[in-house]
Amino acid sequence: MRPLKLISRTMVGGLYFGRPAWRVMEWPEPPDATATEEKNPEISRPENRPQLGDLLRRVCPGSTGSCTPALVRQIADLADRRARLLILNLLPAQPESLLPAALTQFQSQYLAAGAELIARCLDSPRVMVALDRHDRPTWRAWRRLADGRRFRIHTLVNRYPQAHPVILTRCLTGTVLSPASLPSGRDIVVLDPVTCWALGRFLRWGRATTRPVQVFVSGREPRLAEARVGQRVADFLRTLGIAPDTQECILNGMLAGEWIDPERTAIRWDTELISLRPPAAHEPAVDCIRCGWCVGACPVGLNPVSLLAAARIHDGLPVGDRREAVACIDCGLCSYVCPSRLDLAATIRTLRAKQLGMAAAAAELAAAG
Amino acid sequence: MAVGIALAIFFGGIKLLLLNHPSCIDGGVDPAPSARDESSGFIPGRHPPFLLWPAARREFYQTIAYTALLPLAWGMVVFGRCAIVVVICYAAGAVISYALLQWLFRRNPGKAALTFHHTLACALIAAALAYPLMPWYLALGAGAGVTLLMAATGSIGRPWLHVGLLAALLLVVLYPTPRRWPLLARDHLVLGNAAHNRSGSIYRWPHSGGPGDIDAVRFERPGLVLQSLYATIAANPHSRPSRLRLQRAFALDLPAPGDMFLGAVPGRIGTVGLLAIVLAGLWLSCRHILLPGAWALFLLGVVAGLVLGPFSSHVFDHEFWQSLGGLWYLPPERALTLVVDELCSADFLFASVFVLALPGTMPMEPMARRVFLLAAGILAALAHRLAIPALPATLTLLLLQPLTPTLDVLFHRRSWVRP
Ligand code: SF4
Ligand code: SF4
Repeated sequence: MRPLKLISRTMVGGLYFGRPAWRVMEWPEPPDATATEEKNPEISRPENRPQLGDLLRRVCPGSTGSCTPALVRQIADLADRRARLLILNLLPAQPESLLPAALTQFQSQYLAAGAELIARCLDSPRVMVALDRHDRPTWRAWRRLADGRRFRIHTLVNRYPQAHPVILTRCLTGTVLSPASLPSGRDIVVLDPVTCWALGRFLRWGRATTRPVQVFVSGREPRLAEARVGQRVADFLRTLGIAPDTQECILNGMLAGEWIDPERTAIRWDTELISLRPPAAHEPAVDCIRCGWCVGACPVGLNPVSLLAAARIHDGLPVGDRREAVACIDCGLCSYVCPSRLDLAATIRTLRAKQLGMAAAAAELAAAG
Repeated sequence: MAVGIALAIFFGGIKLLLLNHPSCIDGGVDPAPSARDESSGFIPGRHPPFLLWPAARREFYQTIAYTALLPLAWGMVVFGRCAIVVVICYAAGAVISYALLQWLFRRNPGKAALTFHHTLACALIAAALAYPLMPWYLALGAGAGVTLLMAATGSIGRPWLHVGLLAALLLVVLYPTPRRWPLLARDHLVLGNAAHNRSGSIYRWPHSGGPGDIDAVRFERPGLVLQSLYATIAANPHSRPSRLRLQRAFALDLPAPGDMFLGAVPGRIGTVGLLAIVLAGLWLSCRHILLPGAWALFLLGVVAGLVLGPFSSHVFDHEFWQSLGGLWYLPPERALTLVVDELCSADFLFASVFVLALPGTMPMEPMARRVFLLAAGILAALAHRLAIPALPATLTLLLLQPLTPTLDVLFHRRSWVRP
C-alpha cells in the first residue's frame, strides 16, 4: 500500500465546488512486479487493428469514460484511416473525480503501455497527454513516463467540464466537434485513461473483469476500490463496509451523473464514481428571475433559459432556437447555478434528443427518397 | 422624465410580444422525462445535478436585503430619527401587504408569487430612493404600494416593470413637492446632503477646515471650476490657458481622493454612504450575486462619459467641443481628482451596486450586457453633467431596463459548437 496525497478539484465552471483539500488515497492492490511481459506483442501493428477492436471488446466491453466516447466505436468509425492525433484525456471528467490522477501515480506502467499500444496500432504519430495544470504530482509522474516515447504533455486549467472531448479538442487542437459526432470523424481519437489502463494490465496479467471505482461517502475521505464489472453496486459497497440502504446513491458525479438504486444497478465499465450522501432536501423549482447565471455558466455559449423557453413553447418558435440544443454537452452547469432551481439541463437533454431524433428521421427520409 | 417613463412603458410592452423571452418561464412544470434506461436501476424523475449552488433565489434576495441595510444605516446616522422612521415604515408597509397577499391567495399560492425576502429587498431599495424626511404615513403607504404594484405587474420572475421604476412612479404620486423634485432627488437616504438635515442627526459632520473654512456642503465642485475656465477658453479660443490660470482654477485645492472616498471630507461627499455601498458591493460580488465585471463595465462607461462629457449644460453647442479640447490642458493628477469627485458626488456607485444587483436590470446575453452597461454608464454620466435634478445613474438604468429583452434578442449569441 502506498498512500499518496492527491489534490482534490474544487472549481466548477469557475465557481467553487467545495473546500480545497488534500486527500489521501490508496490504490487497492500494488502493481505486480513479477508480471509477465506483454502477452500479445504482435497486436500493436497497424495491420492488426481489427484485432485491437476484438481485444477491447473482451477486456473492457463498452469501455467509455463518463464523458469520453467508447474507443471501440471510435476505432470502428476510423475504419482503416490513420489517427492523426491521439489525446489521452487525464482530466477528471467530474470535479470530484481523482481517478485519472490515481491511475497515473499508482498504475502508470499499465496506463502508458495501453496508450502506447493503441497509438502504434492506430499508426498515430503523436499522443497528447492532457493534464490538470494544478495537479503537480501527476505532471511530474508523466514527465518521467514521457521520456523517449511519443507522448507530449499538455497542461490545462481544469475548470469543469474541461475534460469533455468537445472542449478538450477545441483547446488542444482548435478543432470544433459536434457533441453528436465522434472525434474520430476528424481523425482524432480521445482516449479514456481506464481503457488504456485495462488494456495495459491485460497485456501483462491477462485480467479483464475488474476496474477501479472511486467511492465518495459524504463526510469521509474518498476511497479507491477495484470493482468487478457486473457486480451489484450494493454488494460492492458492502464489501467495503458501507451500508447503502439509508443513503442516496449517485453514479458518475454529482453534476452529470445518475441517481441509482444500488440494489438494482450493476457496476459497468463506465462506472467511475459512486457517491453516497444522506437524503438531501428537494428544492422545488420556482419562476426564473432573469439573473443570467445560466447563460454565464454555459461552457459552449448557449442560452439555456431561452432553450428552456423553446422546449416549453415548442411549436410557436423558430426552428433555429430548438436546433441549438444539439450543441449542449450535458454538463449540468446551468441547472447547478440556477437560483430558481429550474430543471434546465434535463429539459435541454430532452429537447436535444427530440432534435437528434428528427434529424435522424430526416436523414432516413432523404436516403429513402 | 414623462417621455422617459412613456418610453419605458412602451418598451415594456414589447416584452409581451416576445413569447420566447425567459420572463415567460415559470417553475411549476413537470420535470422533463429522462432519456436514460430505467431498467438499469436509474431512478426516474431524479435529474442531475444532485448538487446545487448554495445561493438559491431566497438567499439571493436575502443577501441584497441585508446588504442594503448597510448604506441605509449610514443614511440613518446622517439623517437621524426621521430617516429611521421612514426605513421602518417602508419595511413595515411591504411586510403588511405581503402578509395580506399571502392571506388573499392562501388557496392559490401560485397567484401571489412573491417571496418574503424579495419583498423586503425591494422595499429597502425603494426606501433608499426615497426622501428621508417624508412623513411616516406616506412611507408606510409607499412600502405597501411598491409590493402591491409588484404583485400586480407580474411579481417575482416576471417583472414587467422594474421595482425601482415602480418606486419612483409611486413617489411622484404620493409626494409631489413643487419646489424640490422629490422623485429620486439628491436628498435621499443613501446619498443625502447634511445641509438639508433638519431632524437632528445622530452624528454631526465636522467642518472641513479647508481654505476659508468652507464646509463641504458649500464646497465648490471642481467640475464647476473647470466649467468656468472652459467658458473663458470658449470666449477666446485662440488663447491657451496658462499654467497660472489652471492653478487659479484649482485654487481651492481639492481634497485627496482617498479622503473624499472615506468620508473624511464632510458634506456632499461625506454624507454619502460610499464606503457602506462599496462594502455591500464587495459582499454581493463574493456571493456571485453582483457580477464584478458588470460593476466595472458600468463604471468604465461612467468614467468615459465624464471624461468626454461637456462641463456645461449646453451640450450640443460649440462650447462642448471647445471644452473637450480644454481637457488637453488638464494635469493628469487633477483629472483623477476630478473623476473621483464626480463619481462620489452622484449615485453612480449606488446604482452600480444595488440597481445592477437586482435580477432583471441587465440583459442576460454577454454581448447585450456589455453594450447595455457601457451605454448606460455613458448616458448616466451625461445626465449627471446635464444636472438632472435626480439620481442620474439610477434613473438611466431604470429607464433603459425595459430595453433588455430587445437587446437580448438583438445580441443573441450562437454557440461555438457546431450542432
Ligand atoms: S446548456 Fe448544456 S452545455 Fe450549457 S450549461 Fe446547460 S447542460 Fe451545460
Ligand atoms: S439561472 Fe435560472 S433564474 Fe437565472 S436566468 Fe437562468 S434560468 Fe433564470
